[in-house]
Amino acid sequence: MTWARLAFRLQRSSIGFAALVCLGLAALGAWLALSLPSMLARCDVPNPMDQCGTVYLFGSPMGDPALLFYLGIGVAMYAVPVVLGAPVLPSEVERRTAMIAWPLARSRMKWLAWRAGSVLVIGVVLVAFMALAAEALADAQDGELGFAHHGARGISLVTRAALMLVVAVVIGAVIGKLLPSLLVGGALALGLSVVLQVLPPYGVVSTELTAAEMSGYPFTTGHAYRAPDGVPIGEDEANEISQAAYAEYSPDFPPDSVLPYSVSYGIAGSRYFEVLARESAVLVGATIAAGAAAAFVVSRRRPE
Amino acid sequence: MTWARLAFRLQPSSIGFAALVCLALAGAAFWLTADMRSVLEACGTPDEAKACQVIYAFQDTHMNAVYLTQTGIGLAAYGIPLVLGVPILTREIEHKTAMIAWPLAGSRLKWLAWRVLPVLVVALVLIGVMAYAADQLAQAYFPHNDIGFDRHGSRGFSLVTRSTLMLAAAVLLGAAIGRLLPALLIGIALAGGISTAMDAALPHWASSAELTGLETEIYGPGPLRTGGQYRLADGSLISAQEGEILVQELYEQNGGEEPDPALLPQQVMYGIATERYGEVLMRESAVVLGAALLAGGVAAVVVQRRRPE
Repeated sequence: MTWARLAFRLQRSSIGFAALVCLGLAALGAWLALSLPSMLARCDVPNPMDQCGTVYLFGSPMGDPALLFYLGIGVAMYAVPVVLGAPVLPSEVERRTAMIAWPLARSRMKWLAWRAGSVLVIGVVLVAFMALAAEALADAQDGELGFAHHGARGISLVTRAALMLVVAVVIGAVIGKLLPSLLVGGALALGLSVVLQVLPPYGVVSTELTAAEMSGYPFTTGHAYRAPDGVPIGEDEANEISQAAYAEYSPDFPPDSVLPYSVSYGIAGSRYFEVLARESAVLVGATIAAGAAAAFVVSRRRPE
Repeated sequence: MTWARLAFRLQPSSIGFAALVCLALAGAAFWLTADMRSVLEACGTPDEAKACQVIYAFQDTHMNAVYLTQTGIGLAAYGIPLVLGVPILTREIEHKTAMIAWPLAGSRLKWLAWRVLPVLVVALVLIGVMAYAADQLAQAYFPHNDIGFDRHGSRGFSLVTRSTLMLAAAVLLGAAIGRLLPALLIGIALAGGISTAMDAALPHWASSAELTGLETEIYGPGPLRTGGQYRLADGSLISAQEGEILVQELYEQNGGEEPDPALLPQQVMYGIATERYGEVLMRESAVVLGAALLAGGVAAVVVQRRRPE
């Protein structure tokens, strides 16, 4: 583990911060996941305790801590990689140690692989603890997870964080100064998080969701209307049929059989792993491409 | 404006980032304000919008955009001072220019004042514009009410004072730690601490009293609500939880129908009335600016005593 000790010596504050945040959140997540079953059991009685009211609001009787945990995960999954990745190159360039280290290393590629690789391994391990705890908490709340908390738990969290870390290394390599790299990295993290909200379902074909599929945390891609006989219709036509039915049966309510109904399209929760596999392939590919870009920049830039 | 140019040359990325963020957020806030106010121009005409009549005038149309902008301003109130304040000392120490600049300057205090004051002025101008825009935005979102304590700390003078304290604390952190990244990371934790402490202290700047009239509503802009109880018909007070159980029992006894209003306990809200907002703002501002001066003083002591490397 000499490489880990050396990496820590070179980036003490970044790695210390990452360890504190990731392990802190992982501990909180694990505690919540372990406590949840007993708390839910205590709520399943005739006169439940006060906190049980929040079950319906937040999905757990823990209320704020569970909400804070997911908020923390959402921020940490981008902040930790930026803080770990952005300083890798600027710390060497600003302190002018790159001027010594790069010529001394037989190849800049090897040097980069060692410097960024060790930080990447540490980052991925720390984020994985957080991702495991988030997965355990989500699992404790509901056995049928589907797309619930996608991106904030398990493999999807790790792949996103790994991509952000390598992108942060590229930014540091291009800019070569710590503060601007951190600021640009922060802005890019925001952009990446938005892009990753837009990209799914990665070409997986949407289908009409059944009532059972709707309760299993599907990924919804759209809504439509159907006439009482099942023929697809537009929103305006649905409103017209509804108004006519209400006018015909007024002052009573019309039976459901004469009213149009809405249907949802998307990917059922049972097909989650299909989407996850495609997303992981895309993100790992993007990570490799970003790594190659970092290597290209390092091989060409001046060490000062 | 030589000092401003020089300050920008020494911290181009921090000042550029601060200008970009503050002006972009202020621009968004001004645009939303103008958009909401333009809707109200039709009030009193046959085509008047729903916004002309209800307290939550723009909940259906502008809520998400307003909330996003206000969240951004709330984060920038601490993020901008941090990014501006921390590098002032760390940059000189890490680049080892302090070893030349400090002995060359007649006094370290003069050097510190010269380095910090231009950044403080730039920050106050940028944050002042953003705070004014945030104030206008909050007022435009609730056009029919005195907004009182709504969004306190994320708009107007309270935002400027909090940012000033954060800037002074950031300079102190940079001076004490001397390294950019650790100082920034500790600064983020400190910003969270200051924000939480300010929010926790807010109800204590003036004594809480029973609210009257429209201020007894549980939600909505205006007063600072600190708690609620229920008053029984005989005038005695019971806790909010006991009151809710009692209301539930009365409804159950009445078969789900509304019971006799005389039997229902009356909700009593406690807090600081909207009209006392100025008083609270003044007290808080005095304390926060005092704390900022103190942090600045400690930073001066640290700079005088620390080694320039």
